[in-house]
Amino acid sequence: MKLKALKPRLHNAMFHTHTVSGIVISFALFICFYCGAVALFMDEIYLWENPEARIEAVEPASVDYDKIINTISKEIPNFDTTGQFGIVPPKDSNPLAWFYGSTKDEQGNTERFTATINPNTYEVLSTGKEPSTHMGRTIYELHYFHQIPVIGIYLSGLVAFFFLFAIITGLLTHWKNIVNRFYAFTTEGKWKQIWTNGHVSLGFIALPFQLIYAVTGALLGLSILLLAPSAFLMFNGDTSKVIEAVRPDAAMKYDEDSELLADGFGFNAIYRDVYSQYPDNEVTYIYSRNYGKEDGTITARVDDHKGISGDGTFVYAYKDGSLLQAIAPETKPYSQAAYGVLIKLHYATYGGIFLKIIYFILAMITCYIILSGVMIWRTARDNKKYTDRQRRFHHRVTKVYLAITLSLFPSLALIFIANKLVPMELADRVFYVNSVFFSGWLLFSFLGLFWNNYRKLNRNYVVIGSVLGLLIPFANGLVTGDWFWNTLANGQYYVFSVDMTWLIIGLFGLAISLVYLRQRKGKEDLQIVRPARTIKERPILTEEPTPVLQNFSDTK
Amino acid sequence: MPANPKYLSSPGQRFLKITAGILGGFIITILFHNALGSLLEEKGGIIITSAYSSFFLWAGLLAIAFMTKNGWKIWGIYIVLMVVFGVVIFMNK
Repeated sequence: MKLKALKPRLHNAMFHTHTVSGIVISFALFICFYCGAVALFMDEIYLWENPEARIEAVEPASVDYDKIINTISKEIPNFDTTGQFGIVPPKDSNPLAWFYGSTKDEQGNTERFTATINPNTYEVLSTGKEPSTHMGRTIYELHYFHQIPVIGIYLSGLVAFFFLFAIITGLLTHWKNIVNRFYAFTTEGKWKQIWTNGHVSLGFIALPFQLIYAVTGALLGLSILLLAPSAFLMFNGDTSKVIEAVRPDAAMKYDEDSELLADGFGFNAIYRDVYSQYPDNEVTYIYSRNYGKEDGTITARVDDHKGISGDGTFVYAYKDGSLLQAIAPETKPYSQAAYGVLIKLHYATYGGIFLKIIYFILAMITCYIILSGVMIWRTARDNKKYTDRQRRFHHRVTKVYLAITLSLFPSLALIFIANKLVPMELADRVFYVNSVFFSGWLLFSFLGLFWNNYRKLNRNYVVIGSVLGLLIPFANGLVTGDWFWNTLANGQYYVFSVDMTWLIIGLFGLAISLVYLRQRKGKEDLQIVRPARTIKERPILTEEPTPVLQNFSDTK
Repeated sequence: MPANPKYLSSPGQRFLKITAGILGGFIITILFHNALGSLLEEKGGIIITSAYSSFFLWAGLLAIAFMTKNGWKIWGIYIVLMVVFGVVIFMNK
C-alpha cells in the first residue's frame, strides 16, 4: 500500500519547514522530553531522594490536620492564618505531611514557606523557602527551563508549539512513506536509511503521544497568550471571569476585613466529610483561605488516579461547614472537567505506575526521533554539493547538539549521587547539589566537543553514565544504610526500585557499550575504514573522520 | 535529499510567510475563538476548548502560510479573516 504523495512543490515546502523548525528546537525539545520523562516519577523517587522521609507510612485519614496547623502556628512566628495555606496529606510514596503557607510581618510583607511534618509524631522536620532536598524538582523544573529567569516557561511553550508545527509538517512530508517505512525499521544498511526509517516508523508509533505533549505543553507554557486576549475580548479585560468559567473555586472573592470567627470548622471535619463520600479517592490537597474569618473557606481536592477525569474539588465554608461549591468527579460539566483532563494527560496521573512507564518509554522513543532527525539532517548534507566549510559547520552543529543532549544521561546519574553525597545537615545543600548537576552537565558537554566521532561520543557518554549509575545504589547504601537488599527485604519498594533501576541501567549500558566496541566492523565501516591488521593500528583509526562523513550515497 | 531549493521562496517572500503564519495565524486563532465565544451564552466551554484547539489552529495556519506561493496573498486572506471575526465580535459586544 502506498499513500499518495504531496505535489513536489508542497512536499518541498513542508519538508523544508519541517527541517528548519525541527533543527531549531531539537536540543531544547530533547531536554523537555528527557527530563520530563524522569520527572514523571518525581513522586515515586521522593523516598529515595529524602532519607528523612523514610518513616512508617500512616493512613492519611487518621492524621490530625488541625494539630498540624497548631504546631505550625507555634513553630513559625508571623504565620499568616488568614492567607492561603494548605496541607498535602501523607501518602505511600511520600509519608510526610507537607505544609504550604506564608508569613506576614508587621509591615505587611508576605513570604511563602514550606514545611514538612512527621505525621506520626507531629514533629516539624523542615521549614523554610527551600526544602532540604530538591533533586526531583530540579529535574522537573529543567523540563520547562525554569532555571532561565522569567522567560524559561514561555520558551518551553514556544518549543512545544513549534513541536506541534513540526509534527504536522513532518506528517505531511513523510506521508507517502508512512506505511512502507513502517515495515522497514532496520539497523542495517546505509546510515541515512537507518535514521530515516527509524525517524518515520517510530514517529508514527509515537504520534498520538507527541500530539498530546505538543498541545498540553504549549498550553502550560503559553496559556497567557490565550487567556489575556480572551479576557479582553469577551469579558472587557476581567481575567478573573475567564478563570471563573474554568475553575470556579479559584475565582471566589474574599473580604480582607471580614470579621474574625473563633470556632469555625477545622480541616479534620472537612477531610472526614470528603473522605466519607469518596473513600476510594485520595485527598491530594486540603487548603483554606481567610481561615478563622466569617467568609473563610476550606477546600479539598480529590483524585482517584484511575480515570481521566477522576479529579474533583470541594469548597466548604469555614463558618458552618456547608458545601459551597462542588466540582464532583462524576458530575462536573465539560468546562470544568476539560482542564483537569489536560493536566492528567500531561502528568500521566490517570492510570497508575504502568501508564507512567509507558509514557516514559514513549518519551525515550521521542528523544530518539529528535536525535535521528538531527542525524538525517546531517547525513543528507554530507556530500559534494556542499562546500567543505558548510560540511564542517553541519558536523559542528550536530556534535554540539549530541554533546548537550547525550551528556544529560551521565549528568542525571551525577545528580542522584550528589543528592546522597552532599550531607543532609548542610545549609544550602540544594544549591550544592544543583551546582554539581549543572556544572557536571556543562563539563560533560564540553568534553563531548573533543570527541569527533559520533559513535565514540555516544559510547563515552553511555559508559560514563553507566559507571556513575552503578555507583548510585552504593552511594545510597553507604550514606543512608538502606542497601538495596535491605529495602527489598523490608518492603521499601520506592527506595528499592530506584536503586535497582539504576543498577539495571548501569549494567545494560556497560554491556551495550562493550558490544558496541566490538562491533566496529559494520558493513559500511569496511567501505571507508582500511581493515585494521593489528590491534596496535586501531588507535590511529579513531582519528579517521566519522563513518557517516563518508557514507554519503545520493538516493532520492 | 534536502528540500529542492527551486521550490523554496525568496527571503522577502519567506519573511512574509513567516510573519503571516506566526503573527497572522495567532491573531486569527484568538479572534476565531472569541468570535465563537461572543455568540455563546455559556463561555466556559469555548474557553477550555480553545486550550486544545488554539494550538492546532495556529500551527495549521502556520503550515498553510508556507504552502502558498505568494506571501502577499496569504497576508491578504488572513487579514480578511481577521476583519470577519473582528466584526462578529464587535457586533455581539
